[in-house]
Amino acid sequence: MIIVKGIGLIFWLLIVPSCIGLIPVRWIPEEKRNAGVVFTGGYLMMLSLCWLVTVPCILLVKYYSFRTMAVWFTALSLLAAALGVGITVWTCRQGKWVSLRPEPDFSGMALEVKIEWILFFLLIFWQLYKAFTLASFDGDDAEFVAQSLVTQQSETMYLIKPYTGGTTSLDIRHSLAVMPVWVAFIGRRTGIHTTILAHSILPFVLIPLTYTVYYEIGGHLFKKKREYLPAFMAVMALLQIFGNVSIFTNETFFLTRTWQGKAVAANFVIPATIWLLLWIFDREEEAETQAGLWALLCLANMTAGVCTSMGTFLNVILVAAVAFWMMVAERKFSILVKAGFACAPNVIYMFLYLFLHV
Amino acid sequence: MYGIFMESVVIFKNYVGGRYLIVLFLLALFYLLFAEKNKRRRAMLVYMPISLLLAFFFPITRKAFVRLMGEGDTYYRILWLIPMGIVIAYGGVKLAGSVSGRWEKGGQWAGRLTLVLLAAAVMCGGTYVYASQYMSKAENPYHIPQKVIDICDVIAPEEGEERIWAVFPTDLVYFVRQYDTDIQLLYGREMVEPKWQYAEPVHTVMNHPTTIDIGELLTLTRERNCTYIVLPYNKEVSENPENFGLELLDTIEGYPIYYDPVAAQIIEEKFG
Repeated sequence: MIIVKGIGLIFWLLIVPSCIGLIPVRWIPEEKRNAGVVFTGGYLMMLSLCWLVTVPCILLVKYYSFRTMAVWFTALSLLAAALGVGITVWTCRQGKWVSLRPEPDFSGMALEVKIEWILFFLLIFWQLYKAFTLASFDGDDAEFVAQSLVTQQSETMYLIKPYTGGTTSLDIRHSLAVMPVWVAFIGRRTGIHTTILAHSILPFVLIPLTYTVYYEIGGHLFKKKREYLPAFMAVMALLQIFGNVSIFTNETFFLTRTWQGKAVAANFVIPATIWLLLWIFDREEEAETQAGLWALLCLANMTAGVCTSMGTFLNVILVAAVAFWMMVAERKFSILVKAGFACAPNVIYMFLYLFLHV
Repeated sequence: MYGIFMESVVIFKNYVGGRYLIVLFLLALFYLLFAEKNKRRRAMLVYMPISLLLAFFFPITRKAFVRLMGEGDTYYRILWLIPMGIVIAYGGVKLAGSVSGRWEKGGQWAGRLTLVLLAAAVMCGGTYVYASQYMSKAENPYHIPQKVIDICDVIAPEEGEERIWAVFPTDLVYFVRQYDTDIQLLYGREMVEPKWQYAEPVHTVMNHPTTIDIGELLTLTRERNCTYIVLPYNKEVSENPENFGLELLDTIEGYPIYYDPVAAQIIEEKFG
C-alpha cells in the first residue's frame, strides 16, 4: 500500500508537472532550456490549470463539487502532460532537438566549487530533515490544512467552516485561492490524509522547487562566472535557515509553514516572477523567442492567485515596479504595455473577486 | 499622515526583528549601486527594491493597501516583494569575486575569506529558524500533538455514522479538525485568538481562568446537540460532571473525556 501511495506521489508531484512543463520549452530561448525550467514551469502551469478547473466547479456545481473538480482536473492534467510530451516528440521529429542541460554539471568542476555544491546540498538536506522531524505550530493551519481535509472528506468546497464544521454560504474570500483544494486533490489521488501530505510530504517538493527558482536566478546572474553559483546558492540556503528574524519574513514562512498558500506565494511565486522578469529584460541581444517566458510570467501571475488572493495584488506591484524601472533604463514605453498585458490574469481575478463580493 | 508613516516604521521594525540582516541587505544594496555596471540588473536589484522600500513608508501606499485589502495587519507582506535574500547573496558573492580578482597573489584566499565572513554575518545577524519557540519534535506524521489524535480516536464516529459535536479545551482546538473533520466543534480557532476578540458563550465558560461551571456548560452544550466534552487538565470544575449524567470515557494525558447521554437523548427526540 505504501509503495502504491509512493508511486502516486511521484506521478502527481513529479512526473505530471514535469511533463506539463515541457509545453512551453519550444518557445523559450535555447540556452535557457534546462530541467529546472521544465519543473518550475510545470508547477506554474499545473496550479493555474487547477484554478481554471476549480473556480467554475465552486461557483457552478451545487453538490459534491470537489468530486467534479477531481474528475476534470485529472483529465485535463493528464491531457496537458500528454500534450507536453507530444510537443517535445514533434519538435524532435522536426529536427529541432529540445535538449535539456543537466544541471549542475559536475564534470570538469574545480574541487573548491564541488565543495561549495556539497555544502549547499547539505544545507538543503538539513532543511528537509528538519521539515520531516520537527512540527511547527501555526494557527493558520486550523484554517488551511483543515480546509484541505474538509474538502477531501466532505467532497464539497468552501461550504463548510474549517474551524468548526458548521455549514456556511460560499466563502468567497478564500475560495478563489484554491491551493487547499490542490492539496486535497493530491490527497484524493494518492489516498494520503491531507494533513500528512501538507506537513510531512509537500515540503519535499516545495523546498526544492524554491531552490530551483533560486538556481535559475543565480545561474542567470552568474552566467559568465558559473563557479560563483554554488556560493550564491549556499548563501541563499543559509539565509533561509537564519532568516527567522521575526514571524513575518518570507524565510520564516518558507521553513515553518511551507505548505500554506501564502508561503508558496512568498517563496515560489514571487521569486519565480523575479526570475522570469530577469530572463525577459536582462538580455544582451534580442532573443529569437521570448513568447514562452511571457506566457510563464502570465502563469506566475495566475499562480499567485491560486496561493492567496493578496498574491494577485502583490505580483502586480512587483511586475509594475520592475517594468517601470526597465522602461526608464531602456527608454521604451512598450515595456510597460507588455507588462500590463502579462497582468491580465490578475485584473480578471480582482474583478471576479469584487463581482462575487458585491 | 505622520501617524500612518510611524505605523509603517513600527511594522518595518517588527519585520526586521531588531537583527542585523537588514543592515547586511542595505550594505549589499549600497555595494551594488556602485559595483553593478549592467543597467538592467541595477534597475531590478537596486532601484526596484529602493523604490518599493520608499513606497512601503509612503503613507498613501498604506492607506491604499488598507482600502483595497480591508485590513492593515498584513501590510508587512509588501516587504516580501523586496528580494532581500537575492540582493545579499548576489552582492556578497560578487564582492567576494571582485576581492578574489584584485590581487594575483593571495587574491583567491581573500575571496574565500570574504565568503566565510558573509556566511558568518548571515548566521550572526539572523535567527536560527529551528530554535523557534513554535518548533517541536514531531510526534507523528500528522505533525499534530499525539494526545489530540488519541482523544479524537476515542470520540470519532464510526464509518457511516453521523458527525458529532464536541467541546475541546482552547489549546487543542487548532488541531482537532486537522485530524478528523467528522468531529465538529462548538467553537474553533476563530474564538480562541485574542486578537480577533470574538465572544462565544461556551468558550467563555471553558476559558474561565480557574474553574469551569459544569452546570452552565451543560446547559449550553445540550442546547446545541453536543455529545462529547473534553475538559482541560489544569482547571477545577464546579461539580463532579458525573453528577449531571456525564460518562467518563477515558482520561488522556490529564484531559478527561466525557460522553453526554442526556444530549444524545435530546438529539434522538429531536431528530429521531
